[in-house]
Amino acid sequence: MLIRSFLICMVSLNLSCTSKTQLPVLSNYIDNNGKKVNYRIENFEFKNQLNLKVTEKNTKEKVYVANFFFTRCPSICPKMKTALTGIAHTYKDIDDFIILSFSIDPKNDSVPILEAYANSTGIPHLKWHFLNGNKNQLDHVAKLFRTSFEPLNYGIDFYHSSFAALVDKNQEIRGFYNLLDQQSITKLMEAIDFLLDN
Amino acid sequence: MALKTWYKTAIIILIVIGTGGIIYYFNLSNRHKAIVKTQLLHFFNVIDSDWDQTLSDKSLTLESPALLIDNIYKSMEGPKALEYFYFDKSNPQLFWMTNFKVSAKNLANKTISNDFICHMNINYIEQEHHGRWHLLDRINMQFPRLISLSHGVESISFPDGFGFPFFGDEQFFITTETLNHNVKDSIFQVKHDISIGYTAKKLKPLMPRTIFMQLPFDINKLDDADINDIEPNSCIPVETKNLTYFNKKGQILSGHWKINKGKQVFTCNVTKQLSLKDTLRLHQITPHLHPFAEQFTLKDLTTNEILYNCIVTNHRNRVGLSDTPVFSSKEGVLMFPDHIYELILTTNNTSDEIQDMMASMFLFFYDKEMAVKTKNYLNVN
Repeated sequence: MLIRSFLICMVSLNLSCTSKTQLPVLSNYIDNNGKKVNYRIENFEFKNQLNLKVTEKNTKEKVYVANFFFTRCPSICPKMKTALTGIAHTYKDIDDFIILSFSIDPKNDSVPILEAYANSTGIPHLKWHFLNGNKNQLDHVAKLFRTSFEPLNYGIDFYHSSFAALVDKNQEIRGFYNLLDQQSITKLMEAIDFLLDN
Repeated sequence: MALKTWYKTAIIILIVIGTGGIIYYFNLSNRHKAIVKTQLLHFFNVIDSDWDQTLSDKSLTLESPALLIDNIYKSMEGPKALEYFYFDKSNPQLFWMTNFKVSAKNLANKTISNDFICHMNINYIEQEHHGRWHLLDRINMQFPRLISLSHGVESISFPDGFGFPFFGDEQFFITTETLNHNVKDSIFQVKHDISIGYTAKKLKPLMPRTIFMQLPFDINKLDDADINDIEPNSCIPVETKNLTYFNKKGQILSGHWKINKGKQVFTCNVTKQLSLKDTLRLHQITPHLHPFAEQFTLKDLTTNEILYNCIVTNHRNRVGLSDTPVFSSKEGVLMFPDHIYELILTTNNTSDEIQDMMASMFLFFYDKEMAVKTKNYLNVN
């Protein structure tokens, strides 16, 4: 707790020294004809830890961070969870900011398991949604967020990314940030501030 | 009176925290001491903590923060600095990286020995890089390392006409780390200058891929004293937390291990690491080795052909690498998905103590898929 408070304090000090920044829109790609195609993060439907439906309606006019995780993850998820808990604490009074964490192990991560996991963060349920969805939905959002994951060790573990995506109020991706790297987390918080103000 | 008591309590708490901190610090490894020390020196601005970035029409130059050398720092132990950077956030134009260089200098801006460079790594952000080109099947397939320059190979240029495509507003991540095998009696600061050459002229795209030696180890034999009591082509790892891997047989392997005095030969099958899906043409290899490496080879076991044979030159009068030649070929050599490939490393530890070793190759293949994408992109933009 002390270490976390110290880190948040260091991040805040860094933020106070940093000017506002430009953030390129990254929810676009170059198609096979060489043309740039823009898209938004939409058309998804998941259940959260309270068994409530979460869709793009919940993210409308909100800045949010999205990542992929699973509750049994022994490697990078606990560190990602600590980083996101710090961020959620920092923005706990900002209604326009939320976090979406998509479980890549929906068979195991049932709603009650997600609820227990959410409770362990101490963050209000409507600030940080832990999401369960079917394979099609999961593949759809993985594609939108430019990530992938594959089962390891017969499905006990998964190879997945430590990067989270930052999405603006127009449902467009504005950056990818490594939740295992303090410097990247600092930059993520600078970017969140920028998007909340603009 | 109450103020006096509060004052005393605060001093006692500070002394306890300070003493605990000092005990904690002195129990850290050399590597972790360097991390803590560098972060504190930079955070409190005791030494220059800023990266400087200069963009010209041919290159981007990054000057690292100051890094304090106050001890012997073997490979992977020295003070280091990290940064996320863009070439030009306001310019989404397509460019091509063509060459890379790292050099060490003192605070008076004078170039000093490259003995103070451990490595300089640049990573791309794969979600962003592959995402922009809609090459989603490449995401999470390998570590997103673009290039690594290290002691003995401090600059490289891709063959004429080849480059790595990127957008001006694309983000990259750089790490640069110091090294000091020899200077024990001085405390001084160094900076690293990193230069990345680029062009807007259309080139043939290269695709990076990393392969590295991994050697099995016995979890019950981790002490230096065990080094004469291990199986051939196995190792004692430097650490088990990082650079530790598992293969399909359930063996534990290390990518950073200890080498005994005298000559040793290590081999590692890298066919799985390569995971070639198609026949690819290899144009560039940049090796990464530690002192006391003597020869590093990439061999096609199917044809018995040696694709790259790196004869290393070590310093004569001190620890360090003078030269680890790269492979660079405009014509390239073919590598096949149904062939078996192996890395062979010969080490000759001429010191009187156990040393550490890593051995990687950063390969660049012609990227046929990207060539079509960049051609189509440039046709409509």
